Amino acid sequence: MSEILVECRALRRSFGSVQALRGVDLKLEPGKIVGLLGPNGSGKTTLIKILNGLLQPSSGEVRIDGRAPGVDTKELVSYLPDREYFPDWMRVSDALDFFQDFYADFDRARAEEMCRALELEQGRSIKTLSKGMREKLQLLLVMSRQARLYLLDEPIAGVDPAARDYILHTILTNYNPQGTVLISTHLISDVEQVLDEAVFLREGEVVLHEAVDSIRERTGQSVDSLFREMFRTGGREGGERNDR
Amino acid sequence: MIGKLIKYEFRSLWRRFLPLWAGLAALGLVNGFTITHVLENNRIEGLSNFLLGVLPLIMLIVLFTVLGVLTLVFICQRFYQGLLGREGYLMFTLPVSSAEHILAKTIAALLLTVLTGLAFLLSGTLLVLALDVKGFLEGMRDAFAALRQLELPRGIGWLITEGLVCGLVTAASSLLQIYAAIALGHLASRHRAGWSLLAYVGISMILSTGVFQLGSLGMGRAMERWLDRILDGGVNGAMSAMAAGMGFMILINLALAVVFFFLTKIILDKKLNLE
Amino acid sequence: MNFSIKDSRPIWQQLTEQLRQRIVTGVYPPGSRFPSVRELASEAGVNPNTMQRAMGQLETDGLVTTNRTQGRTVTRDTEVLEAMRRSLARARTQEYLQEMQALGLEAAAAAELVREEGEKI
Repeated sequence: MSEILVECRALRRSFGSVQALRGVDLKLEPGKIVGLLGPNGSGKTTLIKILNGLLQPSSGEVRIDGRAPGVDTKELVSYLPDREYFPDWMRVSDALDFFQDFYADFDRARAEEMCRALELEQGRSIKTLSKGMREKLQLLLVMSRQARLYLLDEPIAGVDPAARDYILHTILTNYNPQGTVLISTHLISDVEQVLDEAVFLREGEVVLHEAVDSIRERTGQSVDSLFREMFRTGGREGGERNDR
Repeated sequence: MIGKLIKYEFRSLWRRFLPLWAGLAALGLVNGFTITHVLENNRIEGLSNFLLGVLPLIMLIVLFTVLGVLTLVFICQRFYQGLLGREGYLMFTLPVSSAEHILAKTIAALLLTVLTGLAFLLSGTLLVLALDVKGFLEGMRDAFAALRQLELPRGIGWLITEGLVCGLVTAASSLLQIYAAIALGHLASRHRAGWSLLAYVGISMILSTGVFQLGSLGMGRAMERWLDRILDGGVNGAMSAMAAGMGFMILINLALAVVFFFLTKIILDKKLNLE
Repeated sequence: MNFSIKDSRPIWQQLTEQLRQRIVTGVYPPGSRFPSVRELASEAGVNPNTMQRAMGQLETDGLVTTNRTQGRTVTRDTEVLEAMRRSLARARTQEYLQEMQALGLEAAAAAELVREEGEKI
């Protein structure tokens, strides 16, 4: 049995009176690409923030590689938020220097290569780049790390199809095969073929965690189709087998 | 890691401050010349002379003020936006503790303040130099000669060192008070900047009333003894009184700095909520 | 001829079919080096584990052999290739006949259509 990389037990998080996570139980093994799937407001971003140490749980336990989120685990986790985080003064080369200085697992040569492929010059000021290019820069920096856990929060939302293909391709060709990639999204049909496993999150709880192949064999539907069914009708079953 | 953080703090400020410092120095020099010109010609009437004499001076004073304000604003911004704004997503996912973040920002801010102070000094020196080089150099030579002849009281070196330490610690505690106020403002869910301002004012008020209480408590007698030392003790007495006074300030500010530091650290560790 | 993941069957099954097709039609000639998992996964835009499973099926078919030093090679065994070719063709024929039946044509009428069209080519 392979070791568990990420473990959440009865994880809860509230913001005032709003319960974002209501007791999440989850176990993730290494070497998998996992989709964290759910509608907006289901708690995906909250869960990811707890995993990367940006938020403290209200109660429950989180373990990454057996340890609680902290300085140690941040060395292992490569995080892509759903927003831009570079300061205005930075140039492309500053950003690469930054990652190289703070992350031992950063592969600078690989990052520079990806910049070249995008025709992104090192001397460009980041704030003069287009939004799409800034997002690609963030992605390539995150994927140039040989991390144990990649947390990608909505990497393809609001992105044109060509860029989306680029993003998925970049993820597939650069991730550490011994690591785990957790992709959160509500656009399931676009990422389904990239996933090993799917986790359905509804209103702060995990309602499904299964291998994609298994879902397709068991229900005769794609994960996207099952998702629509489960989240439209509010059915809590794992999807009925369609009579053909 | 703190060193690396400070390195990036400085990368962020070079481009903005270097031209300002250079401008300040240049204006100091320019003012030296224009004032000399106006004084020599002894004419203050006439628009051209007026402009020549007064305008550069006004510019210099404005730049002084702007630089001072900008330094303060920059320091606050680097903490508020740099850690608790969208840059926080980058900073707090680094394998770096919050203590290291706070220390790095504090040290960088102190260095920036010192550098700006040096820029002021440079500007003033250039102004005086341009005004009257000969007189300046002669004055310096006389001063040094007088100093060498003067029997320096023992321990003057220590006193100066203590003075510097006192300055540094006071600056540090002021900075950490700002950071603590910003961190306290972060606890609110909206209008965080406003709450931070309120927190800062609140802390300042608490401190001043605290000092007032301390003062009225029993410091009366200590103050008497302190004054006696100055009046009766001659140079040595004055020096030891100053040393004691500064020592007291160092202790208080050190304690404040530590309190603010831990307050900020705890808030960042437990109550971080970036948006 | 790109990979297409169209229906709801397990992705690895769809990939297996398309890979079999490629081998039988000579896209990967007999005896040639078969691409690696990462290469194909990248080309298809799928998870490497999924592609791995599909390629495992090819090994079970006997279409591909794995050698520790040389990686994967397409078989030279013409019998195996022929058998797979016929098997794929048969599956297509069954699908075709089902479609014809849905249109109201029995097997004999369908075969007649095939002969007519075949003469035109």
